[in-house]
Amino acid sequence: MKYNQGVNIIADCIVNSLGFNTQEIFDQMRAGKLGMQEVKGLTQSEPTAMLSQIDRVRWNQIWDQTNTLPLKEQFTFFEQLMIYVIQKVVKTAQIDPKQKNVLFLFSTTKGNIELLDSNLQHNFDAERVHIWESAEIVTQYFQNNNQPIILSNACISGTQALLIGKSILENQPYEHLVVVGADLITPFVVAGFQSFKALSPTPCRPFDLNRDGLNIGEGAAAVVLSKTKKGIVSIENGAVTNDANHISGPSRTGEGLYRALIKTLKSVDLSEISFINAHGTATLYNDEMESIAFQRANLLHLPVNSYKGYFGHTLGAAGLIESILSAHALNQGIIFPTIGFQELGISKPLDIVTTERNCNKSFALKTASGFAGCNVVLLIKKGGKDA
Amino acid sequence: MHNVQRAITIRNHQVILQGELLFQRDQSTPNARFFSELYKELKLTYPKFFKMDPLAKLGFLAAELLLNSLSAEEKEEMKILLACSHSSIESDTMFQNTISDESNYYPSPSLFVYTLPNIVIGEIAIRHRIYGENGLYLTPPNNKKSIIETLHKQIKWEDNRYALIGYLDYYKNKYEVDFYLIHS
Repeated sequence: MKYNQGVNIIADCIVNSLGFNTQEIFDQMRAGKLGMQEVKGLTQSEPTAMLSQIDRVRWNQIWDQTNTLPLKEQFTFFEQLMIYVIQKVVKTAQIDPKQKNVLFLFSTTKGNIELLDSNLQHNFDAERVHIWESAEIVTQYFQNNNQPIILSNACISGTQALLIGKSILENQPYEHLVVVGADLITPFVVAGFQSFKALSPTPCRPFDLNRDGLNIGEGAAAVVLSKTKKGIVSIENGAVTNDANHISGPSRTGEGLYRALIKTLKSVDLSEISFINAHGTATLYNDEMESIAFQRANLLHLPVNSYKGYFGHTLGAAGLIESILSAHALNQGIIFPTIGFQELGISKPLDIVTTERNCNKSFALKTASGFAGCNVVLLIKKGGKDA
Repeated sequence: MHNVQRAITIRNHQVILQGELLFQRDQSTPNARFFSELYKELKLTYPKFFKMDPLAKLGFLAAELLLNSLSAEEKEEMKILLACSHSSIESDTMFQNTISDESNYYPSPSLFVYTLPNIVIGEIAIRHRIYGENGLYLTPPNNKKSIIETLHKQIKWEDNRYALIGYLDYYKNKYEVDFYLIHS
């Protein structure tokens, strides 16, 4: 066993409602820009929905201007996004995705779910709705012959994928892992969350007294994890747990998240943690559950933020997108504010970050929770480890 | 595979526990009835079972037979790592049908929640009070054996005493489940 090796994030790319690469999105966030807007007529449940959509016009322009990309019509939008972010990260990392020691790891909740809609005109095979089919098409495009790993563990998928990636690199003969996360806004997921009455008609307000639900977003992200090259952060530790309580409601005692925090924090000095990037969806129950779990884990002194107010809840991709942005923030010594938050609306006195702060500590925590009662905590360290 | 304490397979309306045929029904029995009759055979009183989708029922029943000899302490920190091929496609299709037709539009939260394939893990965790690591992986049907081995390898990496790993799938009225109880 080689537990002492570092696993580092050596390249990353994000596409979401705020932009088409990590730097652009990071800059937009620092400028206080929001990615959500009112969209009419997506479902019959409500006349409008507040959504964080990727700019399709700009997407088409970017695709057409990039001569290394394949014919767009051969791939669904979901697959196009994954191809785009993967191509960016393998180039930045200077790795050859065809190599045997490169493995692909996908994370998503619904993939090409819109292909189930018989009202939608498309030329794709019905089989394409199966996520493994889509993942294999993308893997084959990059001529990688390893069987990809695909995780579909609700809204913790993206963060959990980084932990699984670390574990695979530490225990199997791969040198680099391409971790991908993507999910789209579809009438399917919007109608579903509307049926739960979980959506806010206005930009969401994580941890705020007047929070009234989440905004659905969409996005894709990829990172290259390496055990031989140095990166902006290393994946230090983490844990995945279950509430064993309810399939669609968070635990009232924050049990699963608390347990994941305790397991993760064994290995770190709390005074070295810069911030917690929480799930912070802005639903009543999620944010309250998180406050209870953080209090139980004695973390009330730590700055807490949520990025959901910038670009909504990007579902299975959220954990990967938010981990990447937290990695860059940690690396640059800043802590993002929680856009949308004004007045504390949870029962425990968390230190919710309201304006950008500077902090040069070494560690950050990312947490997420999802349907089926799953929770994840990830600990990242600035600067990466020497490989 | 090493360290397998118990194994269960359910397919073609036959329940095989530790290599022995435990329960069977005629091939013509509808799946829903087969699941209900197995539930009755196990003398369960767990009304939530009847709200579950077929994928969750399948995993729930298999886990019931696999874990019934373990104590609460043994189950508390168990891992549950499962793979399936067709995700929650059965519930996905049903939910899509509730939103496709303008004149017959009735999306419901109780159906939508089952459009996530990892809900089966939540159902097992709730039933058995399991708080450990959990993950739902997707894989092509022809990679079934290999994914179980991949999950098995993952178990050995950490010293957790018990783990439930396996494969389950429900697609176009065909189902199967292969679960293993692993002890470190």
